[in-house]
Amino acid sequence: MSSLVAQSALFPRTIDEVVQIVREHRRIQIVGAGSKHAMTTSDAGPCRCSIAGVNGIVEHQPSEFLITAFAGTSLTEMQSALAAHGQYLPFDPPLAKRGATIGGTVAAGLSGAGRMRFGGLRDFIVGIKMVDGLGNVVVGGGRVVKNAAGYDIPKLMVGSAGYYGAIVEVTLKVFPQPKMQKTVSVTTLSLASALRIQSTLSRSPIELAAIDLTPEGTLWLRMEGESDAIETTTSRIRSLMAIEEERISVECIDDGESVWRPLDDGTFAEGNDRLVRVPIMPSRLLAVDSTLEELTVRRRYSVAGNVAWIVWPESRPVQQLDESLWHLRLGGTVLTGIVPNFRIGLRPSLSMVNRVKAAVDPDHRFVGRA
Amino acid sequence: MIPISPLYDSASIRVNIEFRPLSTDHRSPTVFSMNNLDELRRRFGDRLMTSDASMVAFQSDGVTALSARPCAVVIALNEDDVVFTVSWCFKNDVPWVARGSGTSLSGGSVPIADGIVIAMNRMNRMIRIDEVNRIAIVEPGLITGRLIRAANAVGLHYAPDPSSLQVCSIGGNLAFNSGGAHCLKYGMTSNHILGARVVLADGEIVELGSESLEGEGPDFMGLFCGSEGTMGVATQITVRLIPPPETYFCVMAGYATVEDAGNAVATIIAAGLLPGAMEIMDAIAMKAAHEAVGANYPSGCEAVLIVELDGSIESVNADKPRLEELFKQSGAVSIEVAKDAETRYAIWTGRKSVFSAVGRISPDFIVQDGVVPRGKLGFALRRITEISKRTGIVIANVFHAGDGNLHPLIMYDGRIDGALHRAEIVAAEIVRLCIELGGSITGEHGVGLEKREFLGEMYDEPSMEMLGRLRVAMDPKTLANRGKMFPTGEGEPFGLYGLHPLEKAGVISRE
Repeated sequence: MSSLVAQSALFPRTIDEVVQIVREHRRIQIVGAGSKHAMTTSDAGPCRCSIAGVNGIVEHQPSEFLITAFAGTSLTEMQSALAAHGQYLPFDPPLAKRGATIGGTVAAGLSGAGRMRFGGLRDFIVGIKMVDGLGNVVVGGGRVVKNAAGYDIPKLMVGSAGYYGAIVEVTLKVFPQPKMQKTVSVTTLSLASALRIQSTLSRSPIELAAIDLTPEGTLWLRMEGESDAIETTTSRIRSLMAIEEERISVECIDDGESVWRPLDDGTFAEGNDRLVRVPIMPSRLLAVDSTLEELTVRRRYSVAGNVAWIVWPESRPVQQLDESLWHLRLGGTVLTGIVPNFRIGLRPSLSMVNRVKAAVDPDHRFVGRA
Repeated sequence: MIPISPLYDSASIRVNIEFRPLSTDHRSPTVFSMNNLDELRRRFGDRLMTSDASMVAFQSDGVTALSARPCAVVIALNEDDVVFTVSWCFKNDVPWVARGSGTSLSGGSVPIADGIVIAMNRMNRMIRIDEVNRIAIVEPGLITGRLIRAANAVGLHYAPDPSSLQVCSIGGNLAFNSGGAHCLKYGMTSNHILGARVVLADGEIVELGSESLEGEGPDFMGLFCGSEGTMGVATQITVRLIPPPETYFCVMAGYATVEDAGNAVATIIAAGLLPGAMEIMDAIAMKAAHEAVGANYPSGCEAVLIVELDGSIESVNADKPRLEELFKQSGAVSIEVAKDAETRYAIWTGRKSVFSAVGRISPDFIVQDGVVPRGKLGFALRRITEISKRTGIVIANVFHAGDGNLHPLIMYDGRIDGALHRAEIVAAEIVRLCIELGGSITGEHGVGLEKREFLGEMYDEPSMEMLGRLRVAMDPKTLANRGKMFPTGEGEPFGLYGLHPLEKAGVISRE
């Protein structure tokens, strides 16, 4: 199967070329730049069509706080275009430094640690253009920040994994980029006490851009904003910690990059190890962690206990994790490495998957799974 | 008349929309045998209502110019009731609409003539607030304001705040992806719904979303949210709660012209501030609010811009001086800072009173909620003023300026023959203006009955067809809220609001 990953793909440069490919091929695997290749290793031997060549920023009117880009545009290109005007993607898309495209990010439904404050990709996508299974170019949403007209097709495509069509253009709401950011590390005695502190913080008015946790009980807190505000927030965190009974230490990390980079560039999982993302709930975190502890895997928890990032070694069959998640009634996605099925544990509602498939791709041209 | 594809509607569709007052003896032939209704009667007893008097209570919603007479109303108490009714409708080919508080501003909850209304307002339990996961699990009939108060009671907050929050239900908010004054920073209803149990139109129960902030697989919850009751009905809803803002900084600035105020919004946004809310009121709206609730506005100003910063004390403090500077730069004639909670409350009371206040100065009005790019707000307002001058129809403007979300209140006197028709022509012109400027026909009220003719002007044919196929995938017989959102079926002589009096008299025809 690994040969398929390297297999050459059709490389359209325009939306018209994508349409032509869809109309001319019976079975198509849509891929992006390959940063999440576990999601596109279809074994059905279809035509592979990379959207990475359909790239470039279509429209960025800074005063509207909206950006429209072809789906193959890399996240880094979008981020630097936005940064030039003091703007950013607040949902903090991961794997940017691995070359991830905006279309692939939408198809994978991925948001990063920074989604905590203002919301995830689903909350910032406002418009989409896609080629459906009939070879039609379909538009959903629009180029305004607020829109309640028609079904929310942009959201439907978030997490659709190329199964519902080829995303060719995306419009996103963006926000003003914070002037500064700073990361504070809070070391506690155990995961349980770190969780208690997280719960206090995430219910407090203190505005944090990200809260990540390690299984050992360290919290990483990211603050963003004006420098004065960040200083005040830091002292508020210190005084909150001072009244905690647990022995804890609070220190500022000069290089916050070292904390957040492993997910940005995907080095959290190295080589052919699989990077797995599992949405969870804070209340289930201890139970999830004890299962993962038994499985002895590397992991960290993001978005104030709403996402588990797991590294599953290449040497171990992924079925083991699949079963464990199933017992926990949780579902996850394998992003990198080679796996028979990138969805593990609890699967998305099959009835909904099939109903939508019948509507958007009745001839099942797009292979894979939702 | 927009041609209709058989994909998303069937020839059998009949949507009877009538003018008020509804004649009490009107009864179209029923589309199914009355014997079948006995099946519902046996299950629901008193909770199946068919009397003329009770039907009248359900015949309209927030758009009072639209009404239709259902065949029966079922009061649902639980999910089994909903599944039974939806399945019965599916078996007997009877269209139905699920209804919460009936406050839709797009005619979205107007009954389907001779169809069934499933009244959801008794399914209004707050099932639980989960403080650890910061979520609430509720039944769809729960009043939005009660959810907000329950969340506040445990130190959390539910962000969406549609103006009707004291009476509207969370299920209706979900169905129409309702907005409010705070969407700029916090998003719309769909940004706060994490999951739901849904009864699809063929009776199948599906679970969408989850209790986590992040999802797995295609975002079916996002698709269902805002589907205007055309796919199914939610029976249990999981919403996201957030910590409430620690402090507010509310300022009301007066501008010489509405266009200046519109341009100020673009200036403030472009400077990189992210206020919780930005609202504009024009002179007519100010006058109405002053007369209704005694709100005071600066003299010599044709518009006020209300801007509210919210968040932690340190972040609001950091943004305050920048905001005040931007007001000056943008040519504000007067600046009033809300020094205390009372003043802030008074500013908002004035703003939120506008709809009812306009009701005092005009017997009837149509409210539109189209969206334009924020940079084109000033231009759009000038055009609306021109339209008003040209037609002689008075239009008050209040709007969620930060989102470019207009709310022109087009006034008319429904007792005057043809007045409604003239007002709806103006409404249509404003809707088309929004499309022309690259915006949307609706920012938060939904398409409903009111704007269904315009959806196909906003989206091209392949896109409309895909919407139609998605509808059929969830609702194979197009029974759920039939006639809403999608353009009208063939041969229907209805316009935006209803028949012109001459049409009603058979003198003229639009076909």
